[in-house]
Amino acid sequence: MRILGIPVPESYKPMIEDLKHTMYLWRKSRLTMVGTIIVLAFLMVAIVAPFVAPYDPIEQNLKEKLLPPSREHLFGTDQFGRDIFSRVLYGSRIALWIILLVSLISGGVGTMIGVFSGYFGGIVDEILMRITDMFLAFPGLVLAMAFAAAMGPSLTNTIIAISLVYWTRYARLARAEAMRVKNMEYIEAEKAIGASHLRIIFLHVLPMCISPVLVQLTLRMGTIILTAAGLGFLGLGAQPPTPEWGAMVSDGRNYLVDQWWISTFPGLAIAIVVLGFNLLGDGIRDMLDPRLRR
Amino acid sequence: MNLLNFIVRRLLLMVLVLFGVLCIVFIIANVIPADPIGALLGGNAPPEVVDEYKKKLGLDKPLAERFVSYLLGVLRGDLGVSFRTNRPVLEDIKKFFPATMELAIAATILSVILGIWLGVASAVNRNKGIDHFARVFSILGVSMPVFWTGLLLLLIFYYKLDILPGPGRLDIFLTPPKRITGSIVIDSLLTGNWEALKNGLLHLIMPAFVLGYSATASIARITRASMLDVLRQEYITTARSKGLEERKVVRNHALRNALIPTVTIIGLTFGSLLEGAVLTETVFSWPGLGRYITNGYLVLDYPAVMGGTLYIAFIYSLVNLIVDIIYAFLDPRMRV
Amino acid sequence: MEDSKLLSVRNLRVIFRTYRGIVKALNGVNFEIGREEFVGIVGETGCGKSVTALSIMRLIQQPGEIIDGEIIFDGTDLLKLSEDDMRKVRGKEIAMIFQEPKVSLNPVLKVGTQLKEAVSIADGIPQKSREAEEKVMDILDAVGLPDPKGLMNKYPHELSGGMAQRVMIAMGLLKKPKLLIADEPTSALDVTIQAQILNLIKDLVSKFRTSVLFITHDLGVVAEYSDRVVIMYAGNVVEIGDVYTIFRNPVHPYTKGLLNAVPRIGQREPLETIPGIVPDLVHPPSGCRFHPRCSKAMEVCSKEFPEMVEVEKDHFVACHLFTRGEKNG
Repeated sequence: MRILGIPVPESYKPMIEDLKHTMYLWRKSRLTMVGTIIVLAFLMVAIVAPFVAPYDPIEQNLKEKLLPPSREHLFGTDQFGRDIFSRVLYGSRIALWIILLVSLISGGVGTMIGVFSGYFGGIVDEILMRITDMFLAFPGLVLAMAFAAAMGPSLTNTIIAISLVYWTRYARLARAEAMRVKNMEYIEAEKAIGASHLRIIFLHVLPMCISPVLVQLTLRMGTIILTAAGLGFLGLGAQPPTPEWGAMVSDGRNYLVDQWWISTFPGLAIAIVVLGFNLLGDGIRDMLDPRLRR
Repeated sequence: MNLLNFIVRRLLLMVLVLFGVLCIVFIIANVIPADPIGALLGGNAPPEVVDEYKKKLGLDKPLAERFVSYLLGVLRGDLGVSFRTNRPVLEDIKKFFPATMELAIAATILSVILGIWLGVASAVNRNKGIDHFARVFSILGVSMPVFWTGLLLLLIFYYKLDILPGPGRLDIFLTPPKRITGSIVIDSLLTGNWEALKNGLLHLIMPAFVLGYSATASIARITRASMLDVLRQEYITTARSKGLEERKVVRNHALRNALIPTVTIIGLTFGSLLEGAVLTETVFSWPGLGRYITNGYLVLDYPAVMGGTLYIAFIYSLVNLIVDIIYAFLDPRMRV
Repeated sequence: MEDSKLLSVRNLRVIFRTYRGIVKALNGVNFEIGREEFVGIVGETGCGKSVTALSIMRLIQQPGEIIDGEIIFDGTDLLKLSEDDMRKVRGKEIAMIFQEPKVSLNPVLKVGTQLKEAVSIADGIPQKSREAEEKVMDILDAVGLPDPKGLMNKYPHELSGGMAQRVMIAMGLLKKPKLLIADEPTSALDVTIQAQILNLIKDLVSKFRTSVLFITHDLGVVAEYSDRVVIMYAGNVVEIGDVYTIFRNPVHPYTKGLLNAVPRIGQREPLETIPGIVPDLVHPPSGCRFHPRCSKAMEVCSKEFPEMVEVEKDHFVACHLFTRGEKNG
């Protein structure tokens, strides 16, 4: 079952029967519509960036450095004469890449761990959940910084580091779902006819856990961008000359007073895209909230 | 009694979790490969020098032995010596942490007051002007990158308008108050140094606001949601049917129930405050633990990084423990 | 001035604005309550009983709204009062007790605190005073709760349902109100406790000379305690009469159906049920709202709304079988 393209568990069934209501809530909330539009625009930009960007995002042109915004350079140029507008456009591809991979890795790892933990219970569950607690004892960014620094700062390591931090959330979610599902009668029936644990997990338990995890993943996408940009800003993320938004804000720090545009536009891009994801996430959460659906 | 029982159980769990935290930190610093000596000496130092450094820093011993000695050290309060500052890491933490704490507490006070007020106001005036304002304010708060907001505010209020002081905890020409607690505000109060107090508070405004903004947003949002939920409860109808003024219905009956989930979120937002402190301190050149760790990471100063990270995780766990206890205290049903 | 009645509700209309459309929850409700009278309102879930009660208290919350009608209480129209004046009516003149006593008490405040608050609102004495405390102890004693002192220091979750409802009754009757609205006060309680609570209410109201508006779906309770009965269906009053008339000579087809659905001791034949379901109040049936389920429906029933007529003295019914001079069939 899918809503706005996101699969949701069977327990949300009334929602489908009441699709009209869902659409009503979506239309009624202008903010959710704005969020949807921003996210779609972000996806579009990421796809078409190479075709619409007026300049190469990496090539330096010291003759044109530190130019203020103008018709030739909409967002101005940085200290190496690179066109900031083009870099911001290309930055959307980096951001999208990070979101997709982090969601895939942390969602995948978290769901698997959660499902095993919830399905087998007992000592397996106890150990896996205590490990989850240990990861949750760190503020997210601090732990991500530690991983990123130890592995050496790069775009790939940023993605791995953030995934290593965020899998816990999905593990807990998937565990709860797996515990619910494993006690259902049709699972008992499967066991009775001699199905193996792996078969039950992959064919019956896992599919049920994917939906809530996916919903949660969409709600967290804004946070992923913020964390990645934070790492980039601190110099522990994607390295120059990659047009990563956080690192670009950091590039402009020393020029803040006279060349404000270097930091401002990449930061604005982060803020708008995260805003879009948050508005959309809020909307989805409201639509799933049974209390608001009454 | 039972509350005590609960606290003891939570404490034991915390000890276990902290041991795990120590393991994670140790693995990050010692197993995940990166080259600390290379980072210290540069890539092409002669092998003899590298070996000598390895010996000096204890990196030549087997992993298990290093782990045990680090663990024993931590239990004795010895976190090792920083590669970079050449001082015991614990000394460094003692030196830098009060600045972080001062900032985090200022941000917490700000966000709790502002957040609860906004949340209650928008729930009580649902779908009216203040509610819409609070929603937009909140969603912006959780969307804007902390470091960018900080830079923009610095640009506007310091560089352009010059109505607030710039980076740092005090103006450069000002003598800091005698160090007692490490908090400029408290120390200048204790020593009666009014000039430093005023200047220190002014310096706190921007970073505290930047740091507290997203926390304010989360607190406002959760307070609004739980307030709306509580206002639908039957005991609220009872209170109204007694003839109680709406203001008192909100204050005496709804607020305390509504704040129970808010307390939990305050614990969680404290984590995001520590996270934000790393970024805010970098932007505002605030000499706190976050900046200490960041600088440590950039040169792979492992003892400093391990110690600092461990310490932050410890504080974070402690705050969550306190929050759980307050939670149990607020809700009489939990005490059964 | 026709001041003999304590409360008259006239043409009360309440709507709820929801995403599905406007729910016409009350569609012109009329009834009266005399002084020291015990009136039962009976109807299925969702027929508008509780909405009527909350409307009288003017406690209908968003998205509900009273759009028309009058609620004359003791000579004044409550719907015209300012919020401040209305607040003085609540609790003091009209009190209310609810279906779920345990969730009707604030979980984080001690029972004593909640009672003392009620005293202080009504009498203007400080909540923490000795006087307030004594008053509370007296009333707790009056509702038959042992150890009032210990009880005052308890939290609601430490009480049983029956005790909590006694506390609610104490709170309601603290100021000897002229009208007590009881919204299914015993439905959530054990059967053995139900009778105790009902007898308690009956005793106290006759002692304090309080009128009662008793909302229930339990016809047995109504038969035993009420003076008069109001039957509601889908946001309308369909029949009103004194308790003997309604039970011996019900005339509205819905009332008849309702009474036939109640088991009697010694009864051998299967119970009758009313066919069909309660209508959707966003799109209520035209004309008489009961006509799709009515075995005696005529053509006019789906077209015109039946007005209330008096079939015999003090016995009113809203049914086309009686409005057009047709004989009852």
